[in-house]
Amino acid sequence: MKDRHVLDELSAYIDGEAKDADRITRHLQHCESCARHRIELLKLGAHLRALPQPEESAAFAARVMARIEAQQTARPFWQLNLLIPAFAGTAVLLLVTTLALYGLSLTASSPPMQIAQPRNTWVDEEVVVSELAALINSGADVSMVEEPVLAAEDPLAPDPEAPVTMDEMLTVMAAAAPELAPAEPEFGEEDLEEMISTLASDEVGTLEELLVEYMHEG
Amino acid sequence: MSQNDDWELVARAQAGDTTAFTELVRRYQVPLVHFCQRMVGSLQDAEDLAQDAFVRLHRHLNRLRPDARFSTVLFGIARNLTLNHLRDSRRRGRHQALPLDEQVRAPGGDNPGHRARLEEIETLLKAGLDSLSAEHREVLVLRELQGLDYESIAQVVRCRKGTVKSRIARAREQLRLRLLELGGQEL
Ligand SMILES: [Zn+2]
Repeated sequence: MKDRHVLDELSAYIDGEAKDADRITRHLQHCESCARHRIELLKLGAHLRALPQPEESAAFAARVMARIEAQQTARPFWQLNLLIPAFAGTAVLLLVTTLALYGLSLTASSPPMQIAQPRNTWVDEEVVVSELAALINSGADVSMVEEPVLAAEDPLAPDPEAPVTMDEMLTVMAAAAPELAPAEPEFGEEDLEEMISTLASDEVGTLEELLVEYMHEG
Repeated sequence: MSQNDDWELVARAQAGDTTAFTELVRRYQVPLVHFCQRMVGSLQDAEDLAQDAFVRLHRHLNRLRPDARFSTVLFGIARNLTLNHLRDSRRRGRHQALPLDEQVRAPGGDNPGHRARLEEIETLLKAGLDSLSAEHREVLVLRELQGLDYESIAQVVRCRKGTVKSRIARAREQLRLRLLELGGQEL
């Protein structure tokens, strides 16, 4: 079939991306139905391109730059609790659950060992905390295997009605990981910071991003 | 605007020059907002998403390397955000397309005026685009409204060039048929 119809190739043809453009051109010169179809596709494109564009506004760029500046002057995310008390417990909870629930791998010894299987069901946070503590205590290089997606359906996502307080969370963590807790009565912010400092910087970056996103959503 | 210019601005922004980043935002705000608008429907949401895309681009500024076209990097980020947005709206049951009758009849009607005619076409096209799946809509919008070539589109939506080709063809065909159904015979 030397001169078959070219309907299927017309889309790529009008985009200048058809492989066999010369043959299509020749076919179009004598096939009325293909030629008509080509015109229809061209008209469709013209209509789409005629859709009104949004207007340029100086305010848009200003808002973007203001948001960027606000983020840059923000403190490291694990210190946000000082700035936003209501968010504090949530931050820790998210950090812990994110690490634990999305699959952690231990790369300290080879081959990489799967510590926590990704779960389908959400577990209670004490288990999560203790798993994380065990990992960190073992000196593991904690890296996330899967790209975490904190979705709205996350049942551990903070309920605005009942925010987890920083104190509650620290109590849980201290109980689950006494080794991490200092001799002083409380497992404090510095310990949390130290714990986080054991993570690789890109993991911290990812967590920070998650938290920032979460805050914007919340 | 040339790609080199874009990457030059990126390099300056990486060195801490905020005016350079502002210039990038200025250059791409209209096409980016437009892309988001045609993907999610609402102009307000589109502006928010485009802002998010720029903020995110800035956050990863130091990781950017000029081994791709700048626009594909930027549209790639925006594309992910719009897909997340569509997914989330669907989950919350917020993205409920207008009943077609309403969409199509809204402006224009029997008004013979040219302006009304344009509005009618616009409404038809919006309804038509809305009826496409996101994966067909995105390639068509990137091609027709942003004028990206297949290679760039493949980079933005992270698939093979051959897939872009067949998706665009299918998107055009579906849109054409949908417009006929909606009464846009004389488009
Ligand atoms: Zn033919």
